[in-house]
Amino acid sequence: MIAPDLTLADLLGGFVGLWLTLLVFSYLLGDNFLFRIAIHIFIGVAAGFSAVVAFYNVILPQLILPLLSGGEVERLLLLVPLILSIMLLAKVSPKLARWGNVSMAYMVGVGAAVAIGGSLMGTLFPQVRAIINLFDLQAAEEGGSSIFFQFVNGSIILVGALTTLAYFHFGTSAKSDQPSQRPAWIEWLAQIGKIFIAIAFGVLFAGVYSAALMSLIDRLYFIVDFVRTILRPFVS
Amino acid sequence: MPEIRCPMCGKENPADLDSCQFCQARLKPVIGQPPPDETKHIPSEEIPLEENDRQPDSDSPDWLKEIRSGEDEIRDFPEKSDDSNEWLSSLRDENGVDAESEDEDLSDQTQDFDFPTDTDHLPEWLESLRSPGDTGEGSLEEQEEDPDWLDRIRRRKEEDERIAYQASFDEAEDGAETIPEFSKYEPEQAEQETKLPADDFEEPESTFEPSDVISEQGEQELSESGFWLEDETPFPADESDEEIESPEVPAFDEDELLAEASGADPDWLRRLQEDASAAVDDEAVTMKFDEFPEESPEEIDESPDALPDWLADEEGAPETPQPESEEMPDWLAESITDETSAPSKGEDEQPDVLPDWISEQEGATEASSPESEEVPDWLAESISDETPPQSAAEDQSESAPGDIEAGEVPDWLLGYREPPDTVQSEEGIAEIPSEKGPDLPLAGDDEILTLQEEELAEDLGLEVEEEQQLDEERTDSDLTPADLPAWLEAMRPIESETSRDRDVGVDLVEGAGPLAGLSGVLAADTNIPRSLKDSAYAPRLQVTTEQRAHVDLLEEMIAGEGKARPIPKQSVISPQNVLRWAISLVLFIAILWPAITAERQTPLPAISQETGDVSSLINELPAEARLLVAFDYQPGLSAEMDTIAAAVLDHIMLRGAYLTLVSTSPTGPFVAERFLSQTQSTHDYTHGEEYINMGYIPGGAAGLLSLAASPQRTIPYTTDGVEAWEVSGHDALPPLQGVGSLADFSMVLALVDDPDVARAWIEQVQPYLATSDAETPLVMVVSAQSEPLIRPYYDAFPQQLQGFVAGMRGGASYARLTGRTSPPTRYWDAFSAGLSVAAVLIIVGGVVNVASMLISRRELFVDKDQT
Repeated sequence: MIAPDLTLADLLGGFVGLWLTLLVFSYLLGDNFLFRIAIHIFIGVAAGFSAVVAFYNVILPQLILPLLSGGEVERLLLLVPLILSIMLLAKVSPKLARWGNVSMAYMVGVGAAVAIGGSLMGTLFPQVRAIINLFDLQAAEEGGSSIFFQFVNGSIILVGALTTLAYFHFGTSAKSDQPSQRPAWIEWLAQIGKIFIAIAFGVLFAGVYSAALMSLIDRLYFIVDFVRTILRPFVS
Repeated sequence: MPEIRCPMCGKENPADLDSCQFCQARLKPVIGQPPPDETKHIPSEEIPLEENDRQPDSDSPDWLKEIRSGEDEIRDFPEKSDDSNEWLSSLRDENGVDAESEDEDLSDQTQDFDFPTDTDHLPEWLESLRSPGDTGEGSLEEQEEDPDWLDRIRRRKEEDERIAYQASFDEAEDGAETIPEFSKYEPEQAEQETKLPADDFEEPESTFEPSDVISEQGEQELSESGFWLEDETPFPADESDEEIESPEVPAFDEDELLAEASGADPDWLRRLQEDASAAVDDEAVTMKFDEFPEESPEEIDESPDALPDWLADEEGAPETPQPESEEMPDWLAESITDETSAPSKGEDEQPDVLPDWISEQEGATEASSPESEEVPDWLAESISDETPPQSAAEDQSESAPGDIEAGEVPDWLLGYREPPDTVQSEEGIAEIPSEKGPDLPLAGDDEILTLQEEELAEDLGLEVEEEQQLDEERTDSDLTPADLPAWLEAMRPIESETSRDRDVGVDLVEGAGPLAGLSGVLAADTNIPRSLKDSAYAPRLQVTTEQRAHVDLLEEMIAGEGKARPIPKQSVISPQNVLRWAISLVLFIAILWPAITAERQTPLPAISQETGDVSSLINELPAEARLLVAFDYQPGLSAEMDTIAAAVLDHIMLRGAYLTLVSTSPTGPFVAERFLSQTQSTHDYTHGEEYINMGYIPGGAAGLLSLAASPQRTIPYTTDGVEAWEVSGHDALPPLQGVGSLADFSMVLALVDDPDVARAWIEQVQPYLATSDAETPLVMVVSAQSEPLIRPYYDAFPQQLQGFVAGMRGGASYARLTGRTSPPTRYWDAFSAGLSVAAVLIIVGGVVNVASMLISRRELFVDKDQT
């Protein structure tokens, strides 16, 4: 990752990277001033960069420039997002915050509709269909897969899906002199679904750990490479 | 053998006995006989007054007993008790002074009766008048030469008066004891006073009702005034003060005067005392006086012959007081005029009916105008100063219903009645001294009462102010109520109790019911307590020291809630930190060792199916394929994502595909440029030529949906502001040539670290990739943390995701598949070491926990077995 020929920019960038990396590593000693400095720098840089990108990549080319140089129809259509955007800015002031509710309502409505539609058409229906198709042994045979393994695999997936759904079933039957408790068969399925959920969480934890481990490895390799680059003239 | 009659049982006893052989009562007073040394003076304080006063009780009438019983009750007020006899003593003195010849007879009578002749029984100054010849110029000169001792006497008298009244108010603390006696006295005294004429003169009882005066006048004034003590009393307080403070005015406490005089041993006083003890015929006077009320005034007026001799002698010498006043010293004359000025009520009304000696007595005292020429100016002023209360008393007495006609009652009895009238005519406060005894008839007593009442009013007025100050100081200095002085506590219930008891004394006439027409019926509301006490309370809340401490503590707690508490500093070296450092050290060593040694010892992972599908799809790309590559990961995860995507994009670039870069993250365009510049620099891809960066797609899932539905409208420009799509007169940029929708791309590759973003790509974009004749594959490079959520879309049938490379394992696998030594293979050893260390640490930690649990359970079982 480190080029053999370091420029001044690379050298300064390397020192800044090393300094910030060490600031983050100082968290091993507990929450301290140096760690907070690094965090604040990252947040500030990311926010500033995002604002610049949003303006130069979205607002300017898609709102301002069309308003200035677009046709009449385009300008009239652009008045809607312009007004909604201005009203959204009213959220900054507590006194004028209610004027931004219209924009927020539009955004929430559109976002919810998109998310629900995507979940139904992109996840729920296709996944249900996929589970059903797991037991299409004929198709599996035609595809060259083993029917037995296909059946076992489908069965495990089906059991895992059903038991996991049973685990999230919290309805109980009301009896006068007995504590609220789920039906026994649902409780039994829920215990099995808990195993699948535990496995899924374990996988997720392993994925998170591996992602964090890769970040640590990258930083440590960066330090080793930078120091090695700095010390190379002295060693040789 | 002479015998002595016992004053108690009335039986005869031998003269040599000291006590009665029947009732054991003392026959000879202790100080009744002159001491062997006649020049020795016995101070009046040493005389046992009880015996002197009680001995004649057996022979005295009931009304006099009641009066004397009243004296016993108020014996704490020596001035008053002494003064109460002054009017009687004045009569004696005039008799004795005028008829010196009678002294011998009187002394004989005294010896015969062997009645106590203590000098204290009569005021000494009156006794001294009996021998005016002895009170010559020498005594007057001594009086004038020694004004200081008289001042001291006067001051002591004032102090005694004040102490006496404070004591009376201390008794008022009990509420229903002393204070109700004021009101009790009013009807009782009225009864006594009305009984006197009723029994002796057959006067109607209803002729005098002090309760009416109180109820009609005093209560009305009380109701109008907020606080009765704050109101000005009709007494001229300033004048009384002047009288008190005037050094020329002699004191009225004759006992103390003689006591002081005896201390100085003035000759004239000793002579006065000796003469008084030898010549005064107390017994004769007392007996005659006791007999006197038994005769009606009519009898006295109509048959002067029936009068006793001494009284007849009084009539025969009417002019004696006038020449005596010339002979006596000024201070003594003043005292006479002061004391006799009170019964001036009836002087204009009954000058003819009264005996001459009484008229003369009154004329010498009350008719100050004719005598003003003979009296010194200061004495005239003193007299004139005293007239207002008397006139006020007259007005009040005249306005009283059923007043006795002056012609029917002797003036001395009118004078006897005057104090209640005078007292009742004044506002509320005048009732206080009136209860001290029924025998306070003389003007001197009225004056004393007036002075005392004024002092009391002033004291109480000051006390009210002092109470307010004390309340304020108490609030400030946390004084408890118990610290209030007794006089201040005593004054509080006075108002309510007095008003209540005054109501009790109202003589009501029942107008309805079975008791209709009866008078003296108790009012229905007499037992209803009507407390005016609230007005005396301070408006401030009275709290104790403990309550104040609690309030302060609560305020401190409330104030502390608004302050940020400093976080307690933990020690750097703690078990938690030590464990953290140990894990970090192990990880660092495991990671740095491959980095330092640069040796690859860990084999690359096996090729997974999803990774192979990605490689196959890339391999199947046509020449100059157009790919849509989305860089939707954060810079924080760029280490993992760059490592994973490097092999995939290297593979794609080797295929010579055109790339269109987009991102749903604001930092995505920067991450894409950095990725290409650092990892794919060897491919010499140029922006606008081989690839274009379309920048940021706002709106999240909605933006993706918009991109899938209309890519030209969603991302019309590149990050450089160049129109990327084909419009009129402008060709599209090379990566977008021939592309009108997402389905026109050869492949859609999404580099995603967030599973939600990956799911959004699948849900929103994937449906638009399939067309009737072809389907654009969707491939993903995802972080390891997103793999569990992405895999179902890949495993589904039909697939929603045609292939993906997940995590470091997928990147290394893809590198192995494509035969590259790109970053995945470089980091693989460190990654494997880190995973191994983590696995070991997890296992070791779990084992330690299980072991500690087993050990603890075993110890618990052992303890249970032992127990």
